[in-house]
Amino acid sequence: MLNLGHAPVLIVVVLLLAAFIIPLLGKRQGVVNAVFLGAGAAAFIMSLSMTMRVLAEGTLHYPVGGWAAPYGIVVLVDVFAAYSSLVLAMVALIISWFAVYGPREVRHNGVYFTLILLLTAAMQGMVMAGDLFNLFVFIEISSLAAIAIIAIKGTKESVEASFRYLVLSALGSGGVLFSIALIFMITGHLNMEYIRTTLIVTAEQYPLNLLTSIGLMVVGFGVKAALFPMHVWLPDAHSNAPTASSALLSGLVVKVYIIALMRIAYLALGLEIFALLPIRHLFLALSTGALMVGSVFAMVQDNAKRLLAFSTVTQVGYIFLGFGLFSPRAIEGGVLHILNHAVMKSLLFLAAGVIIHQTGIKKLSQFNGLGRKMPLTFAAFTVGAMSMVGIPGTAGFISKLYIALGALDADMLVFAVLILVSSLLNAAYYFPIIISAFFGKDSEKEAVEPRLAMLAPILVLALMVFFFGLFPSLMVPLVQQTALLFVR
Amino acid sequence: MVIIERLYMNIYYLVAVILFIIGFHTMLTHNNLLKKIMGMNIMDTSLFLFFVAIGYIHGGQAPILREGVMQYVNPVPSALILTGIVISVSFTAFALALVVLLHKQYGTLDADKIIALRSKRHA
Repeated sequence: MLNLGHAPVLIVVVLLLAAFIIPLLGKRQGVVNAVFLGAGAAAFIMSLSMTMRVLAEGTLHYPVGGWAAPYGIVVLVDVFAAYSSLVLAMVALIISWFAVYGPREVRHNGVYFTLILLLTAAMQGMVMAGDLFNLFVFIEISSLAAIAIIAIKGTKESVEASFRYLVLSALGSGGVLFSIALIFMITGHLNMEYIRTTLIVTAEQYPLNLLTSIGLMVVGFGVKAALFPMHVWLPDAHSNAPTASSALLSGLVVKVYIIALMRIAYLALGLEIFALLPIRHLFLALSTGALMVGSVFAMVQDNAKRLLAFSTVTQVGYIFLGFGLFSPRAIEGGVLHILNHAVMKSLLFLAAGVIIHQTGIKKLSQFNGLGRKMPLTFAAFTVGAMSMVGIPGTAGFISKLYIALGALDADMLVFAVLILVSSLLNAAYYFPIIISAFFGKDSEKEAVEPRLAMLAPILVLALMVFFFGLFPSLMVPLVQQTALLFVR
Repeated sequence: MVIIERLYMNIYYLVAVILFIIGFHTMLTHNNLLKKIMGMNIMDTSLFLFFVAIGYIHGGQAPILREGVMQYVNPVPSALILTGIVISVSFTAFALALVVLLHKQYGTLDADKIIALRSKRHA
């Protein structure tokens, strides 16, 4: 059996290696597909075994190259990192399957697969990084790859949207790098755990440095995670990308930055920061805005993918709300929502992509009657939509329930009401689509179900929505231990 | 006078922050796509200056062990910035490639005109 003690770096290395091998294989599409999916599957298996190990043995410290901290670089895998890595590997593998067998939207599949692998490798590296500069390098790799998988579609809209994403993303990176510099200035360390021990002494001496640094960091990550009101780039970027990219970007990429920010918060800065500074209240205020504005804008969209993109703005708000409420159950809900939203938003984007591919219809107002012609695809879409609204039995219900209960724990009833209102708003824009698709008058368009290989990832995701909705206990040990990292 | 003296002592930080703001401002407010990229580069450069200034000690020598040298400059920020420069160059190259593509498709480098052209296509 392979020694999986090196799993933390092996996951990143395998994905990166595959990313560099694929361009060398040239036009042999069968081999390219095999390498692409093989790397994704290998990452998933290693991530799974790593998660088991973290659950059994506790936090893993992996010194890269055998050089111990503070001189070497440390990969730090705690339960949160293991959980995030597992979610990333799982959802990315399913989306990769769709990228291979789904509708072909890019000219060079090989290049596209390379970019997806670079993106997943960078995201895996980001959630496991124990060192701020290492984290920054992975942020930049993932930003570049994320922009490239939008621009690769080559249409006028996608290139324009990706350039706007690039400008704002570069601004965010600038903010993050500046904040890292300010922290390095007062601590002399880049290793997150060493920073925390040093900050206990130096934070009082240089409060201004720390304050500026945290401000820049929240803005930097906020831009990349599309936290309201810094979400302006998201709707165009996510709706004009190829379908598999949209699913990756909305399902995983925006959340990785939230994970990175929260990891810095509890690993490097220490949780006292939450008590001393009004970061929580900032999160609460901004996520309230996101919940309302995202839904209201989603309601007026007629383009299917644009509606889903605006819905992502709302869902990012939910995750921030969970962290902002800061009671154990709210954090559990926020962390669970990272998984649940990744599954259901990928499902919705892939289903929408298949519908658009099979019928050529992008406008929601013309979806009438299509549900009877493509029952499986629309059934999957319905499952995703129900989960978004939070119907009991689906995954979305569990995380929303936890966040709402967390709001009650924190004595902030108003946010439980807010979640209810936002769920109603979600229903107000998802249900008309489903009703008109199944019960509307017949459309003249011919539409048939896609072939099974294309449909398979969508059905798997739909089953996962039910699975995580009916058996949430599977993820509970990971999620509860993650919440303990925040609320000791 | 005390303020001026303190500013002078922190002149590298001061210049870095001013450059950062110039870059930030250029990126957000200029309509020309090339100027946006220039702004991005100014911002990145200011951060490199800031990082290297953290490690700089007045009168310090290059960190090579020699006799008679007491003070060394901290080499860690300089090493980090090498990576930072590589990242900045790749971002710039990629952004320029996108600008070439945009100019081919829209025939202009003005961000406002591009948005106007795009919404006209939608209508």
